[in-house]
Amino acid sequence: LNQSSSEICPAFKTYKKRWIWIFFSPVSSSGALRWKDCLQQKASEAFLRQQAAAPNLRKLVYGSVAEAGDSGEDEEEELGGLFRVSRPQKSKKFTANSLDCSRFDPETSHNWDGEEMLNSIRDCFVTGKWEEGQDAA
Amino acid sequence: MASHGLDYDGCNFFRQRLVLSTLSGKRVKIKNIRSRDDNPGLRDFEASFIRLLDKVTNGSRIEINQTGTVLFYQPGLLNGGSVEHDCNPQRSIGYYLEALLMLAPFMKNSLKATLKGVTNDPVDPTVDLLKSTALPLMKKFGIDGEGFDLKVVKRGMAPGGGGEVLFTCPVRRTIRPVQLTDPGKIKRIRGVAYSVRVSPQMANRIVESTRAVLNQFIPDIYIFTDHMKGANSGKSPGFGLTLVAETLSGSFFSAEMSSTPQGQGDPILPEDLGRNCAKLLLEEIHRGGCVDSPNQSLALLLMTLGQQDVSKVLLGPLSPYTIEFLRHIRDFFQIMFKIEVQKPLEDERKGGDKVLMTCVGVGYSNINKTLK
Repeated sequence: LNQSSSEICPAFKTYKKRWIWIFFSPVSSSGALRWKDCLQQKASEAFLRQQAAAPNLRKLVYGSVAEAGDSGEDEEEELGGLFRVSRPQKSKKFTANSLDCSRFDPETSHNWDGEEMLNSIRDCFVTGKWEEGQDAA
Repeated sequence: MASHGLDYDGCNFFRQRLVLSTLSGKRVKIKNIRSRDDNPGLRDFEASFIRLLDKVTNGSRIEINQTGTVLFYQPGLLNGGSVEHDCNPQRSIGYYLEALLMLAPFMKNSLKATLKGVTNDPVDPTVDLLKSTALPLMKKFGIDGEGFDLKVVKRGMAPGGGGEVLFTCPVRRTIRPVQLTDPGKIKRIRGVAYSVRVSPQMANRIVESTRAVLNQFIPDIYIFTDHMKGANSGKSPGFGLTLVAETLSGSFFSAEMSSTPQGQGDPILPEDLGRNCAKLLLEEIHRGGCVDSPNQSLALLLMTLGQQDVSKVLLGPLSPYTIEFLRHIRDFFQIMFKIEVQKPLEDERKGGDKVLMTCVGVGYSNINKTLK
């Protein structure tokens, strides 16, 4: 059921849970199957929304300054002065011992067989359209 | 905190930390190196990297605990000179060379490094790629002149290796600040299709399928075929392709693919390799910017170490490696970049979002260099 849809759009994954919930929910009304309408469109809208709300890059890179300051105190937290709180590994820890490589391979590469994708970079070449005030000479 | 040096966890970004430590003179301690792994501690290639670092510096102190899970590094002075190193074949020479490129301009004597090992593998940027992208980039920062060269003397494919590379780099006292904000349009595409210990026809087959994809955009494509024989062909068979697109303003985009190392996974047809590599190049062009993705961190380092003036560089999307590098630059040099996202215009067909990086250099000057 899900294989083809997840290829269409990465945002499908976040929607999947809700769909399954709807699918198995006991409520059955005339609109029960309407969620299937224009799934691709909904998914792509959700994806675009997520893209538009991309967090401030500076925050992504450096984090907020306050956060970096007090992270040291939390680690020494103790319960009843006897046990240390064992926290689940933060996401950062998962990458701490992964491969040290400068290559940047995107997980989802664009489909370069389609004309649409090829057109999206046409103007990067001298054969593409030139801005006003510039020319090949 | 600074007097005690910096503490990190894990073996990822190993080279960044040691390189920045060497340049800034700050001590660094890396803990928990694969501490939960079945085979804990440093790997052979990391040990080999430390030995290389030890060869180009003078007076470095390196302490590793018994299991190899903790490393303490106190950097010495960057000495340079003639260095010969057998790079561990677990990683290709590109792994070691990326770090040397960052260190070489700041040495006391100009570096002449002979590196032996694997020149091409599918994991790291290969020597051919660094030669055609990293060197022109460094020239923009004022590192050029006589004896700035990278030469593949012998080619050695993974896993056997047996290749040899000669890297020479002059020293500079200061680094020039740059303003690279306009990538310009791509005027030509060049490439090298190499093959060793297989039929020389392989390279020709790669070239043909690559041209089929790229000819849709530009006619000026030339892909050299490089077939090394005999003593220059290393120990393992293999083939591969490096593609470089050059723009009018002298920026370079690159992509590359190597055949699967002998005895590791499914073999790949040269036709498929050519086609896929061409698509990787298109992906890199879509990302855009003035510096291609494997060299982002090198550009950012040279911006940081420039004279006390504003440097601007337009990049494509930041790679995870680069993001971590920015954090490390903040730790070692207290420099934070101004990061602005540039969205493409409505009717523009120039790929995705770009990122404009701005910073003021720390005014680093090479105190090791002898004045003449």
